[in-house]
Amino acid sequence: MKQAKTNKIFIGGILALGMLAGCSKDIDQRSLPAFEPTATEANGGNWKTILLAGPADIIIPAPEAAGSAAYQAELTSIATRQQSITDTDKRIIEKWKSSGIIRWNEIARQLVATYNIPPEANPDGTYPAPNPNNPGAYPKFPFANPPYASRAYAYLHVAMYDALVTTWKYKFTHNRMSPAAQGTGIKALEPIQEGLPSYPSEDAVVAQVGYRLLKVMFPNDTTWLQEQSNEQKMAKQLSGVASPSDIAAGELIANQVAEKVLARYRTDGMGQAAGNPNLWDELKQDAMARGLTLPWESMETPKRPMMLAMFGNVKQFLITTAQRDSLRPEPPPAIGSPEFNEALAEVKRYSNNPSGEVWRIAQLWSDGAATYTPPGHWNEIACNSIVKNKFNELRTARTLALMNMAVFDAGISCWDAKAYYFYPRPSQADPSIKTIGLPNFPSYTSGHSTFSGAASTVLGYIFPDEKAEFERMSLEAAESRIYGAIHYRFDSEAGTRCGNAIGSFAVKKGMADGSN
Amino acid sequence: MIRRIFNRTAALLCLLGAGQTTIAQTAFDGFTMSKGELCLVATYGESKWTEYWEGKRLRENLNIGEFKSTNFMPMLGYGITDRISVFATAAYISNSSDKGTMQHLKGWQDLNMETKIQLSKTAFKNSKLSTFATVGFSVPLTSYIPDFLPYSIGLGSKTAQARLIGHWKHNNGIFTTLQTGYITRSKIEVDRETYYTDQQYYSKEMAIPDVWDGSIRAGFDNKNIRAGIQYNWSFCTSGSDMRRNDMPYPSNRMNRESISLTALVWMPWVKGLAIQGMADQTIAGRNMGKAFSWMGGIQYVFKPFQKKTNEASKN
Repeated sequence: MKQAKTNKIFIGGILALGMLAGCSKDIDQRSLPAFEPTATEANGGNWKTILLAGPADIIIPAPEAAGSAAYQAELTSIATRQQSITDTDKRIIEKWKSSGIIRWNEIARQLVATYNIPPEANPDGTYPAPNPNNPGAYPKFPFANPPYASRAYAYLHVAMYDALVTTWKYKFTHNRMSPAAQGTGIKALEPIQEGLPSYPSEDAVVAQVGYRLLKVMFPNDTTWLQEQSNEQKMAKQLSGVASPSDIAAGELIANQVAEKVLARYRTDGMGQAAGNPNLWDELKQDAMARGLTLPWESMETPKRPMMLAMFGNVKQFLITTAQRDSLRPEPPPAIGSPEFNEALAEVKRYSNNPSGEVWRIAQLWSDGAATYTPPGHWNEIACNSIVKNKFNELRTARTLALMNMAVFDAGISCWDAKAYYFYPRPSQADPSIKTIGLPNFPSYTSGHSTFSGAASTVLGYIFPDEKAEFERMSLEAAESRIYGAIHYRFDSEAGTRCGNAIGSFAVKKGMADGSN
Repeated sequence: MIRRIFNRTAALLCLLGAGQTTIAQTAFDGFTMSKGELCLVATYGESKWTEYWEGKRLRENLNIGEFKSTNFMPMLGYGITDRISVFATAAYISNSSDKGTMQHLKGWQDLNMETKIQLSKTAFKNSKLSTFATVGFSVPLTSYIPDFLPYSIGLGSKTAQARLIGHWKHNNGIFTTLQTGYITRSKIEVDRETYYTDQQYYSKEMAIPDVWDGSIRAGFDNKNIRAGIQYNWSFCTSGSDMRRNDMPYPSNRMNRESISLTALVWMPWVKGLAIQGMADQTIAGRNMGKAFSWMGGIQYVFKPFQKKTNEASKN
């Protein structure tokens, strides 16, 4: 009897374990819902471009007429292909429907997260730098830190926007509708926007711009990016949205725009942003000459040079160097002043109690190494609102271009302040302060706060119903850095103000671009 | 009589730096408790490392310096019948390092419960063979932070485990024990909403790998002392490797092999009292510190609910 009872307990235990073992390790991930854009934006071709003088900069041939033999042959090939559609085909159609730009934004975020790990020190105490000419060697190129990421997101979406304004110009010049709308029996295997001409294909533009830009920024992934690009173009032909000549015209636009945008990308000063030992020392000496008594030092062992010390000199999209200087925040409190001591004591209080809601917020916005960075976080927030508001590709491109220009410019202005003031971190002033993970650059002003202030200002303009929520998030992100014990309150407040100011330049640009 | 109880109880803590392993070592040895016995244990332990395996690569990290984990662990064991005993433990853990700016963390970790059942006992000419099974679970006792390794005090997962134990003991005191078990571990929720381990995850959820572990032990046991040497292994059945110079994640494939020495010495002047000690050296690992650990503790065994005359031998 007793033996039987024991065995029952044991078997019961094994069964319970079996049930637990059956628990999936699959992660429940959030994804954006499918949606159909509401507006065609027939006047989109008149919107003001950013780097192009206008769509006329880009030349593509007129399409073959809908009745032409060449076009009819294209239609026949699509109809034939649709008859042997596979499950794989259906999956890629599903993947690329709704918004290709958001997919490419996600691809960019993923690449940033993949490459956002600081290089390990050499045995001799120096640090290796990624080499764009040998991108696969350790440390792999690029180190996609927040400045690098902000720049990548900005150029990607500026290029997409300029290319799509051009595309819209030609769409409504030529007015050739999609294969599925030609009445030849080609099925629409995904929703096709009524009244939106398909020559040139906006998807091909997005796919080709995405590929052309990102392969320069993340050269190790060129093959994979090419596959993504080809897949998107293939999906649109399979689903009856675009014909081969629609795709080819899109590629033509994308390639020309990519050339122009990449020409600026290569000459915007990023190549000099790392600086050199003489310049680093100069920054420190200059700040001390202006009265700083405790200059920033790397808290890492071995001491790591400031991340992209000269990034503040990179060419901005929205403001001039003179404007950058005039927007530079007021000097921070003198080290040891009552204001400084009070701010330091607040950081120390948070450092002493790493738990609960304070820690959760610090972690939520941390966006540190191996993440898509704060600019990536704001891209995700923007994409959520784009989907909620069912923006079409052109308006999506505009939203992400405006926001990412502001975020990139905000990063440059913030780095300018960091290098200019060369202000120590709280844990340098008081080594007993432990942190959520200390970034390797001076404290004043807070990068998160500046990025977030810029992004929330632009998004509040584009999505006025959510303005208050964006502001709340921006302030929470700024606060999170104090919670994480890596910033003084005055770092965050000055950063938010500067970010808001730079965001308003993007708002001004948006208000004048003819899209309203 | 007391010595006989000890011989049967022999709850040996072999602390490896975390609560799960402690109770595992306690409940998973080859010794039994008898009905009505209560075993109280309190231990203090430390674990230190200056090198860790980043994936499979052993490295140091000057921004961690020497990592140190200390723990205080009370444990309670009770013999429900002569064949079934239950164990419960919880650990207070404090993690710190002597370099770098990362936050140090401490707090109560998980509640671990185990039920140990004797399946068989077979007497041979000069020796005995016993087999056991255990089933158990653990749940976090507090809302500690799991996603800040290596400073996190635990992984925040709920676990369940089952195990088989074989124990052979010669009448001259020499014994050997082989035990192995499987631990399933639930997904956890972390504070960040997006993270990258082997790919980008848009989720607060993080998968915690299951574990296959076990040990082989050889030792000597008499009325005064029990001492042993053992090889321990603990292998995740899934999980990602830390990327070069990246932070560790709770979802990493954390593997570990170690050699430990254990000893339990009865105090002749107090009935039911023993002191115990353990030293453990990690010899191989993956996404894990190359730690040296030691533990010292005190245990007291008595029958609070029964008269002491009721101590018939069950062996």
